[in-house]
Amino acid sequence: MPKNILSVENLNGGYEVFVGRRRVFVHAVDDVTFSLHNNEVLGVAGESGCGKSTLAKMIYGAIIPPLLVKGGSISITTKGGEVLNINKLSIDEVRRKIWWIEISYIPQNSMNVLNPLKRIKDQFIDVFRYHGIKMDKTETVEHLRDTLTTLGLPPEVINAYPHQLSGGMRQRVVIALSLVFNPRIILADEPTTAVDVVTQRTILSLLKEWRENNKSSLVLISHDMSVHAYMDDRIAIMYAGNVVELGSSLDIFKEPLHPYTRALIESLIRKGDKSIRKGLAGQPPDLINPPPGCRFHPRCPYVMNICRSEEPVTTFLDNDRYVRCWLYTSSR
Amino acid sequence: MHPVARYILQRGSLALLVVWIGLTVTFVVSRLMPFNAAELLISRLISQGVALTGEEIEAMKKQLLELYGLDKPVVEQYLVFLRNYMVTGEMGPSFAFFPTSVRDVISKALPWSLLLLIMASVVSWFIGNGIGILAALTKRRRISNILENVAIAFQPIPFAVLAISFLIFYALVLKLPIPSGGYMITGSPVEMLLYMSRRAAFPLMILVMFGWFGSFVSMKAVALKMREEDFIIYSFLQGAPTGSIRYMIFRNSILPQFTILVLGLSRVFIGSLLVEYIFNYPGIGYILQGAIANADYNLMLGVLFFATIATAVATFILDLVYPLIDPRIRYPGQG
Ligand SMILES: Nc1ncnc2c1ncn2[C@@H]1O[C@H](COP(=O)(O)OP(=O)(O)OP(=O)(O)O)[C@@H](O)[C@H]1O
Ligand SMILES: [Mg+2]
Repeated sequence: MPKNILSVENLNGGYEVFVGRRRVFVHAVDDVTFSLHNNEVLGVAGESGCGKSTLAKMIYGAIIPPLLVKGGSISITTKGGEVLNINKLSIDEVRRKIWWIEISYIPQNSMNVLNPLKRIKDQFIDVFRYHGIKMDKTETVEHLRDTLTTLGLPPEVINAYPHQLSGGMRQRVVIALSLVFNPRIILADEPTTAVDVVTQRTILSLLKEWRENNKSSLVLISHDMSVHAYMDDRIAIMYAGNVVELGSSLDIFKEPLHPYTRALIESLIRKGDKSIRKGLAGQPPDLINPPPGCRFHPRCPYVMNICRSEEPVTTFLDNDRYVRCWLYTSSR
Repeated sequence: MHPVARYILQRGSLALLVVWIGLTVTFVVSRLMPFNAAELLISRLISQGVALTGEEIEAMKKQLLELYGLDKPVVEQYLVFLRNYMVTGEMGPSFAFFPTSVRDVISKALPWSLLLLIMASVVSWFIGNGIGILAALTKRRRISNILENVAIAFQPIPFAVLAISFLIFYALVLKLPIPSGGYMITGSPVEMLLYMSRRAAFPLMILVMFGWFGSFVSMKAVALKMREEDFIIYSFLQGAPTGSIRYMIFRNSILPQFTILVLGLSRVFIGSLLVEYIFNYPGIGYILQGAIANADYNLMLGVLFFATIATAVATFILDLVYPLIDPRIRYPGQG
């Protein structure tokens, strides 16, 4: 087995929208490169609007207008060991070979994505039908009952319609849906926004356990650094469409390099804290007209002249740790 | 009692109540009309040149009122009317077609209207919704947009204008014959039906030709919006094949259209004077108009009785069927 199950190279994309009659491009994912290892949790962190969901959609291949891919490549290793370049496949091939079988996706609004006219169990049976996978109905329903029970849902849920469930229950149903075919990769976009902290912890633990048992990999998107601290093996920090820093969870929390990462981690309330920690001053940049040079420079406490005019280059500290910041290019 | 049975009983009694209120209102309104059938008949005789003295007029009026049952106090008339409808099922005599009973007058005319208008509603509904869903799903945006523009352009034009323009075009430009006539044909039910169908075909064609726009426009709008719904996009991302997605869009878009159809069907019971007039087609619309013009209270009540029943039944059916086709709507007490 190769080490990487998914590699993303120089991915570029965003939304083409009209402001009045002017066509503008919201550059939500800008030159993103990273790889997902076998059997790991990779977190994607960053404040609201920085492009996390867009990145997930692009990786999954959910390119629905106005989303537009401008460049880059995404390749994945399938269960059969084949390496496929997702952006070279036709949409129908992606649909049949990749979606739900190799990668499944938990969208950000997961509590609102179920079909209102169908019972929960039928929505599971449908997924089998979509992929022409034969199954025994009663056996599947039995299995489903177990899965839902482990996610903390009462077994009657399988006969319910979505509107009879709470938002948090629907979210868990969608999580269970994404696991049915034991995919090697799961893209989870804020999977636990609709539940309380205790339930969140339960769900995350179950997801973690499931992943470890199946040796699958999870890309976990969240703006909540405590979720990342609990779940991640590695973390990618995004700011305004760029991945500004990537590294193992331990390193990032112990020694954040990028000034933005530092601010994010400082904003976490730690045990024993007396004062409320300060947040980051200023607004996230406009992705239609991002600031020149480093996109973070208007808010950066360490800003230098070069930051205002030139985009920082990627500096690798070791194989699995990089940062995009001028502070670290000179000192190397 | 089982909650569903109780629900059905509740809705059923409600429907009955609606019918009763409807009939009472019609009764009151009919008695409030500033003239009555006897006076109308006499004034018509006079205007035709029949010479009558004052006493003769009074005597005749008295006789007529007695004959029609209009000489009794209003409360008694109302009780007779209620007994006629609720108990005996008789609807009394028609004044204008005296002594033919209201039931006979209506049963001659109503089938004509029902045949034409029900067919027109149903066929237009199917065609409109069928084209609508296709237009929303097709990749050939151009054709569907052209269709939509045509529909939107024609929709606000009154049917009379469209139909008459078409008739002029049909008769004067294409020089084709316009079928007409028919009514008091007697024969076996099958013969009758064949005869009526032949007569209804032409107006039906025109009604459908200009009748599908509404369903088309609303279906297309609903289905286009449905395409963007989160659960449709989610199914697509789950790997649902195009056919499944299309069916899902269709299944979810057809629900609101169904109400439109059923309520539309309940309206055909008063006929359509406009359509009957334009196509010289016998039907209940004429009868109702005649009933009003001749102050034929009994006939008026008879026609409106059917219309009220139809509306109440349609609402009742919708109440019963909706929980079956849309799980978000439940019978009370159901899990
Ligand atoms: N459908 C769309 N059309 C136009 N612009 C969009 C669309 N969706 C997102 N954007 C823009 O793209 C940028 C990135 O959005 P994205 O949803 O990826 O952010 P995010 O990091 O997931 O935020 P959050 O944490 O709030 O979910 C934002 O500036 C947003 O305004
Ligand atoms: Mg998001």
